[in-house]
Amino acid sequence: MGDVEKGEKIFVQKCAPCHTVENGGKHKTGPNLNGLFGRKTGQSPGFFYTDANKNKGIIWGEDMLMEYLENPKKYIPGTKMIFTGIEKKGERADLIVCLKKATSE
Amino acid sequence: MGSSLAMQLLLFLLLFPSLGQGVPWCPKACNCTLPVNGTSATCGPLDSFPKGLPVDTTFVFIEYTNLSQLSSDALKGLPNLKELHLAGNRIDNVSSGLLTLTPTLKVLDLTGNTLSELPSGLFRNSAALHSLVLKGNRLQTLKANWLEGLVALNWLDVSANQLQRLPPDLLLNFTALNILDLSDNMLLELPPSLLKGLPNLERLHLEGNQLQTLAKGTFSATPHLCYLFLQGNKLSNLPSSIFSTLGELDMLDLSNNLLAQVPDGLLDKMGQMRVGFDLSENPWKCDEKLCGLYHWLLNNQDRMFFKNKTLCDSPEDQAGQMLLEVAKKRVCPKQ
Repeated sequence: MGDVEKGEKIFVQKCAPCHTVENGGKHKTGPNLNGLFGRKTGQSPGFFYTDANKNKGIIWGEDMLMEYLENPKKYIPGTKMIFTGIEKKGERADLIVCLKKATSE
Repeated sequence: MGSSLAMQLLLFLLLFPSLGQGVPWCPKACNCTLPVNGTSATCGPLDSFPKGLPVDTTFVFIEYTNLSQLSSDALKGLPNLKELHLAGNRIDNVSSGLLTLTPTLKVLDLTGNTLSELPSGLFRNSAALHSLVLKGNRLQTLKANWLEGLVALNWLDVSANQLQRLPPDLLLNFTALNILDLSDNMLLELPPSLLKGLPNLERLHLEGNQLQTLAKGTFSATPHLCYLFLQGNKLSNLPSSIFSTLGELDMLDLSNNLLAQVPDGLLDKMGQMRVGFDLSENPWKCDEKLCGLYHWLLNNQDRMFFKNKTLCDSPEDQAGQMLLEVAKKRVCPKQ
């Protein structure tokens, strides 16, 4: 079970430079992530995604994010996202737990 | 091209909107999207830069394949290139003329290659480059003349290399720089004037280095710093004024260092810490010398990360206790 507090720190350190999570948060280098869980790839309104991301066609959930966040470029070749991924499974779990909470508020 | 051939091509493209491979204007090793805001080409596997990319190409992705050579005219014929993503290849050197013909380049990602140096003058024509990522290469140092020309640089990532020392003049006049990532290197010290030319720096990553202290005045020219990551170093002492100019700081991570004591007033003039702070995994010596810190902690405890991992190491009768609990119980002279 992921640790929300650890996840929050990971998010601030690794994700916050490019992403916001709150409802109505602005797009930055990357899209606002509010409403992510249960949504198809490439659907944050108003963000210019690559075709690679839009056409991936999966629905974001815990399992998909576990795979994606290990190495985003391998999961979605042609993504604009510049992030090599999070190697440790435990850290990914922490981040995902935090994301689930923060993107549904 | 005759108009009937053009019509056939148009019909072909209309019937197969996502078919980017096998179309005459896309190299065999690549998958090209239809041009809307310019062609986006995702290429590989390959071991040399594809020839014949369309002139309107704005995005090129060649990642996690065996690209090792980038000749100086590799990008010839791509005057509109905006983003070049080359992560995870075997690029061990870059020609100084590589980016001469791509003045519109905004993003260059060279993560995970084997670069040990950069040629001087590489970025002379790169006035539009806002993101440069050199993470995970073999750089042992960075020279100021390697970075000449990067007047619009917003994000510089040199993390996970082998940097030990940095020249003091490395980052002069990077007025647009917001994010500097030097994490996971082997930095023993920072020249005190390293950040002098970075008035708009907002995020600084120094985690995972070998820093034992920070020189007085290191942050005197970066008053807008919001996020400062110093975890996982060997910090054992800090000058009392080191954070006093950081009135906008939202997050300070000092976890996993060798801090037993800190001078009075270390954290007093800092910003609101709206995101939080982390002092965990340090060998805190919980005696009366820490009273300044106790007082500050009690006023800011709602933003303290990992309260139950922020523990006293000594003296013996406090060992294992939470720093925050000691702060609550300790009788300190009135502040």
